[in-house]
Amino acid sequence: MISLVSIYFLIFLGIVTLVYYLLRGNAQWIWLLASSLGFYALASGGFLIFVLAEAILIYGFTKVFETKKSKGLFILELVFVFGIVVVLKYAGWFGQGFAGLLSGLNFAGKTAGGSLNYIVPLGISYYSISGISYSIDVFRDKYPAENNFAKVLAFISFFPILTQGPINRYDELSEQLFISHRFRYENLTYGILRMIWGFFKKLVVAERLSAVVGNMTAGWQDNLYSGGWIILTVALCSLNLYMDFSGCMDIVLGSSEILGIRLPENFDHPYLSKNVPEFWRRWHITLGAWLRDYVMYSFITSKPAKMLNKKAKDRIGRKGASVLVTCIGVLLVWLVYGLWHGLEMKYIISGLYYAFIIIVATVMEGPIKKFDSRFPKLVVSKAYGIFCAVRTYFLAMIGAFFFFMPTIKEGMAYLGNLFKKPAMGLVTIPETGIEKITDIKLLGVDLLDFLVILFGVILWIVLATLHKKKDVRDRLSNRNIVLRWLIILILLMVVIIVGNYGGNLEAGSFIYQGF
Amino acid sequence: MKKLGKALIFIGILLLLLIGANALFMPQTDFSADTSKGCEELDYIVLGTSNVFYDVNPVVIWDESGFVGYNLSSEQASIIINYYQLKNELKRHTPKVVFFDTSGFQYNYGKASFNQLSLDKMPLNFDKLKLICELKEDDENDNSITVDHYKKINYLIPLYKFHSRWKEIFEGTLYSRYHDKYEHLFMGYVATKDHFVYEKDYKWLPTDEELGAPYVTEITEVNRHYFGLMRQLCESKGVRLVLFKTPSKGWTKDIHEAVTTFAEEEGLEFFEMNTPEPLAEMEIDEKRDLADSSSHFNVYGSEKISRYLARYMKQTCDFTDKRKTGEENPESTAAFWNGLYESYRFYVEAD
Repeated sequence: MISLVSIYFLIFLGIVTLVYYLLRGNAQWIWLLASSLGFYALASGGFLIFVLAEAILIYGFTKVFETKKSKGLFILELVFVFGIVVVLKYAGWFGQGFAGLLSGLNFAGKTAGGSLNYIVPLGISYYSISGISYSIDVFRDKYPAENNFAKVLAFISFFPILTQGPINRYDELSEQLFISHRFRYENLTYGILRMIWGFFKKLVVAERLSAVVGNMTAGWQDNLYSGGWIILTVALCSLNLYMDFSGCMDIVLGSSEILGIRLPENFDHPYLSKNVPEFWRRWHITLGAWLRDYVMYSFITSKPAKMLNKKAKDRIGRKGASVLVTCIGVLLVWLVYGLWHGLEMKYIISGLYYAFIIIVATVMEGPIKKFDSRFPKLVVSKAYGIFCAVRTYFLAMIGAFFFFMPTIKEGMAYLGNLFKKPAMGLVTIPETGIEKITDIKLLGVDLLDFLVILFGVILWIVLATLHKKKDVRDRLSNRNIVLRWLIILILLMVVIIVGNYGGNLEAGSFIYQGF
Repeated sequence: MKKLGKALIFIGILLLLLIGANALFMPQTDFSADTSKGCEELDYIVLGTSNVFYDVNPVVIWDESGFVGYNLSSEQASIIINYYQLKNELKRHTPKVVFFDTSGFQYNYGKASFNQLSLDKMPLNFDKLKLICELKEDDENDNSITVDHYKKINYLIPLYKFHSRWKEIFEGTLYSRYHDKYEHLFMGYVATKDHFVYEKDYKWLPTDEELGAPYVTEITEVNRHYFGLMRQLCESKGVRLVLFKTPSKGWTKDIHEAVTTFAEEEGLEFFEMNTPEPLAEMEIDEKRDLADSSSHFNVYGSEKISRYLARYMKQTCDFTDKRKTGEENPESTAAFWNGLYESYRFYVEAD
């Protein structure tokens, strides 16, 4: 199976790029379409049929919307598109026989939990909602429906984004996808650099963090960890998620940049956010934007919302009504967010948890503004900024922590140990003889792996700080060639030698790939 | 053009670094180093699987007969691998006889994990690339033939697999041998003093049913093809090809009969040591001579097998006894091999 972190992907990308720049005009995007379908077939086998099916559905419905704006038809389209997603992601719910049938038909999808309960075709959630965004835009008359079916298919199946996004808009991607691109050396070097950084995050840091997080969250049953170890686990879960997801995005955006196509960013230094709403504008940006534009906007402009606003105005005033409608919209958005990850209670509760925090922030907007105006010096101080960032980090990441636990109940039991045994102290484990609270073995990795993680995190903080002011690649290109090559070669060799891949260390799939 | 030049220089430097890293992390073995000295004029090469590198000691053959050769076997090597190994070796040496261990007929392409070990010992050249392209693998459970392209990357670029040894830089074991059991090597022979006794009676030539038949028990198309190539190769170089099989519990009556018939069809000699007569002559003691449960022999068993093979060579091959040729000259073949034999005896007799 071809994956973004396999040598086959690099060979594939090399061939695609070479042929791409030998072609001109329409032949370029047609080549990309053929490559994308080839990539999907190699990565997910028979599931390619569902990409084609969704493209046909979306193309067909949008052509109808050109002449007939029927809400009934639109709902029917949603039922069809999301129906496919639900049926495939939750095949097990329809009985093992159905799941077995899909498996028997050589739909080589990912399975989780070692059973056929969750046959998740690669990228189905991502290409489905990208397709739906196009459909809604056409329905809203934002732009006309595309006449060429192949172009719709090329948009939905563009290979770099198939693994886990980013979620694209048709008007933005088509502007780049369907024009002729000439080879630019800067695109190649900048794209490769970004990919190397992505491989570093994924193979050097995230794969090791996965081992640590897997080990620490697995200890919930035996109550191995308590006090500070629980806080550390929560912090590392989020860091693991970030390194894994943003590493993938770097590979995706880098490989796309090589082809002269700039995809939207999915992360903007989320850990520097001062509050949770800001965090969600910087984390998984394209999903947040999708929920804002297609769920929140649809709700606020809907008749029921307008009626509620009107009725509430009489009772709680204009501002109160606006806050009420916004809060219901937030609740709806985060419910969809949870459901998008899966039909499991932990995802739904996780979504509602974020909704709660954002609603509190919305309701408290007035008092917070008053506080800000009363203590202006404090608010702009660095210490306060750091406090807000750390607070946001943990508030935001408690939700992510539940992603790593089997169920909400087990997650709560794990977090409960924070209060049951407050302190870094832990239960002695007779089998391993671990008694010291500082024993590195408790992380589930050895000292060298721990130091690699530490080095990776420090490097990430340094580069992220530098990047915020100016693109690190611009900085690098301004350096003399010896220093530039030295830095790139060292980073590359670190990835090749220290990365967790190959042999018995096959890199795992990406965490968000399963959603 | 300037940018293209820069890119090429960068790729060149990167390739050099990769080659360096590949050499650094490749496990160290003496398998290939063993064959570089004392083998200028070869009488024979022994080719086969782990059964042979545990069973046939060229140094004992020297002591028994004064014949010069080496053991070119590797773990569970299938016939395709043996063919390419031999093709490589015949570029630097032309022995008079190749003794080919028939264990390879028990696999098609072999298990991937064992193939990796064989390929790691081969230098990167056109033949190795060809082998990687042609190589498939036997399924772990039912011997059916499968292809895993992912494994081919490991075959081609050992760094892909062995980069995980980077921690050994800090542990100080990077240059230690690949595996402790390969610590005592004598011209490709792996000497061990391990001792293993079967709980049940040790039966020679069991039926497939008695053994549970974990192997291929007929001459498959794949093996016919690559054996045919091996035979052509030997004929083109004027090298005599002799089939042989050292004693092994895993060698069943069925495959014995299949290979016997095949050898007759091909008009080749088949020196079978699993039948009662040679077993009696060698005086194999199953209670003392075995090293492990895979029918590998320890130094005591391998000495019996090697001396028996040496006597067979004396009877059937036109080799010259080199023991008395210039042994006073420290640079001579005799002095070199006598030294090796002394080292071997020292290992055997040491506590």
